[in-house]
Amino acid sequence: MDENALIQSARKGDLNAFNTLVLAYQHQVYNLAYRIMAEQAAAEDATQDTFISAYKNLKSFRGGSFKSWLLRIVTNACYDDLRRRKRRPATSLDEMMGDQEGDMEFDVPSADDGPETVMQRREMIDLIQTGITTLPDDQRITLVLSDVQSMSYEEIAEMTHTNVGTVKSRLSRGRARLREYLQAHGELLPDLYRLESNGA
Amino acid sequence: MKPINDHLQAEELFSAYIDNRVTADEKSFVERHTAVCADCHARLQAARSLVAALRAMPVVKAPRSFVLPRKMPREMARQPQRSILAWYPALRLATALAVVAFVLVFAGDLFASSYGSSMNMPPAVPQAALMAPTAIPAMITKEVAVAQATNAPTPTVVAKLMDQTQSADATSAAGAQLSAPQPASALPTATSMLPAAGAAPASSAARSITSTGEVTGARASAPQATPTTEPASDAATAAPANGAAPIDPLRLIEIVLGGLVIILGVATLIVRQRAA
Ligand SMILES: [Zn+2]
Repeated sequence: MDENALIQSARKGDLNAFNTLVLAYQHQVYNLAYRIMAEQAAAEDATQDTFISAYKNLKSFRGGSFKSWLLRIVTNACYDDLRRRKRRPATSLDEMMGDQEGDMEFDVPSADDGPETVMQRREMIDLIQTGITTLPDDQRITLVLSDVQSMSYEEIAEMTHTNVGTVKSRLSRGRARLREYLQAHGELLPDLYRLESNGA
Repeated sequence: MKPINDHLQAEELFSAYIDNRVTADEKSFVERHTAVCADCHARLQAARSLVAALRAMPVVKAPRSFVLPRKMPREMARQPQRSILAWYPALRLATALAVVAFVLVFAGDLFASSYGSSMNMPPAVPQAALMAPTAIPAMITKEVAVAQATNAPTPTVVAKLMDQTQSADATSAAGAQLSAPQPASALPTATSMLPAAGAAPASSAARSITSTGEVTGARASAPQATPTTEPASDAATAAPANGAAPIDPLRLIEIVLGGLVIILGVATLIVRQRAA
């Protein structure tokens, strides 16, 4: 059964058809939410809200890429959540502990000069993820859509209701800022170079 | 050395340059500059590495299935959570205000009672204070019952009532262990006073008490108030309370505020738990 047929059936209220689509896209939707929110619970909430909202608003889907449509919904859900958090800056104790743990983990210099280990790679990914959360919301979301999700400037502009010029400058500032964060948090760049030369 | 403007201009272009989103002029500017400027060359390499690292981030698998159930539970829509969340700031503020008010009144009371003579202090009060851990929950439930039963009680009546219940609690608790009974000076018990609070002035209620401790005068106008503190009241009837206390509205306010602090505090905690 192809995607369009599933969407048509789901529109008529066929929940099984819709759930086939959920199964096809839930990892991509969750991944985007997780990369933006950097927190499992928040990413789960955003993902769940996305599929509920998609099911309820299936009639407003006007064709095109269903995946892009879902990613737009989850991006908006993340935006909303980030905005809500700003209104309620008293984060839970867990979140604060999580941040601190993240920082402490990477302040430990690695004495190991050997080849890149799984552990180092894991730490680097976590450090990048933590760095992403330090960016302003617009830069954070633009950077994830571009560099994690590999979307074009045009797609991002449409998704975030702005123009290509703004996407360009948000991305430029976000990348520069993230680079500063990584440099301030240890000898990471050799790892980055290695990663690049490995073609990973 | 190139002018500082060149470094800044080059760096601003790195991001777009990596994505191949620069004009031909910009492209050649970046390439010419990084060919002669080691700093900017290193920075461009770092920017490239970062983008490569971001692209190499693994896809995080969803930790569970997000398949929609046939009947969506209400909490999946997350409406209740949000409405509860909306109450949180107000609740927190109310709790804080109640605590402040309680502390102020309590401090004022401490000052007043150390200032005033011992005549002002009913003998039961120190006992009540000693019994505080057990007596307070009972007092709060009584207070709630009274608050619900009476629409606009005169402060004096309720104040008297509270003194009665306090001393009743204290004596009933103490009575089990102490064989020395309190002077029974033809005073109303907690049982009789609770319904009376609804309408009858305390004095008339007290006057109409029979030897069995029943209220006759207050019965006619007895409100629907059914005290929720049966055991305490029963015990109080058995051990007549010493309630020759003068009216002390301050004590009542303290108890009301104390109860309010506890109720608001618990509510705030519940909302916070749900919001988390
Ligand atoms: Zn330069």
